[in-house]
Amino acid sequence: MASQPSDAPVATATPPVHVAPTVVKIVIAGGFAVGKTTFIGSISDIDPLNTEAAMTEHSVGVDDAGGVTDRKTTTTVAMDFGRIALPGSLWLYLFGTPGQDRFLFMWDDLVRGAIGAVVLVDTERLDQCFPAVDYFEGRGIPFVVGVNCFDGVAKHQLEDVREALGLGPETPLMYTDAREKSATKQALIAVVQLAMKRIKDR
Amino acid sequence: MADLYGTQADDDAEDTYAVRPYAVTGGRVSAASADLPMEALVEASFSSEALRGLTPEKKKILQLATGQYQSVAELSAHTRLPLGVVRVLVTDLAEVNYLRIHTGGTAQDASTHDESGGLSLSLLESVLDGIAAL
Repeated sequence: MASQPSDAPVATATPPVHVAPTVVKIVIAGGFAVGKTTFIGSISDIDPLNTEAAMTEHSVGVDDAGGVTDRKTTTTVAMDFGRIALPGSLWLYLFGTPGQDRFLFMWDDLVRGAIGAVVLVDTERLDQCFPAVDYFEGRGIPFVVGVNCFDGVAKHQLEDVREALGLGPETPLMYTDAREKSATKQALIAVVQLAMKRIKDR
Repeated sequence: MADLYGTQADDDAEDTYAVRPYAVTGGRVSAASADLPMEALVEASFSSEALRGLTPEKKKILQLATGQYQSVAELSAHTRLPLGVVRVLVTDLAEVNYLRIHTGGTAQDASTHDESGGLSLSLLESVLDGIAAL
């Protein structure tokens, strides 16, 4: 790296001997405290990192963590993310959305160029994932819905959840466990497969 | 757009940062930096003399991206600077060739994205195979 001429214009510089990895990303969305960071951490090569977007007036006085303080007492105006190195010099980033609706304005930046999204759902607080479902549906972004089974217990039938969320038959819906790498893997595979199907169906 | 990420003065920012974010960027909001994908990789390409005269924040970014690729998001996490600020600093450093920005695979890469912005099938196949093998 040190041998590269630092004064050469980037566009015309001698190509580096090593080639930078190709980066792709999948967005992990869902309501507050639904397990996004746990999901990312279950498969990431690095401990989930946290990037802050310094909030200004957008975050003042509208905090609404109603009824979930038993599971998580604080939230930040930040995105947690992780990284997975895949064969073929591919790096997959997983970006968690900021936990609350009031940060929806940040999502356009997050989803730009993304493969698609996983929407995590807690059936005890189903309404919390409505903004995410609406957002991805409205923009035609491939997404799958993962019903996170806290404590490994599935409390609702998937078809009931599908109906409650108003999901069409084309949207993959599955049980998942944010703590389990194998379950996380299946959800990620489902997103990529959906993105591929969209292209093939065109 | 970029001011949403805290490049403007903000009372809360004083609690978190030693200097207000807008001071770190010299008060500027770079138009080019707003488009820099947060997953874009950064690689330092500087000689040690380059560090002279740089702000501590820029030095830190160059040090973090030396000998390893770091995404814009990772640089933000490790420097504890907001994403918008890191975008401006990285764009500045790239303009003087102290670092390289790699956007392969991001929305800015025409070889992996079709005209409607969707990823190419071959790249998705590689990602699928890679995840399945984890």
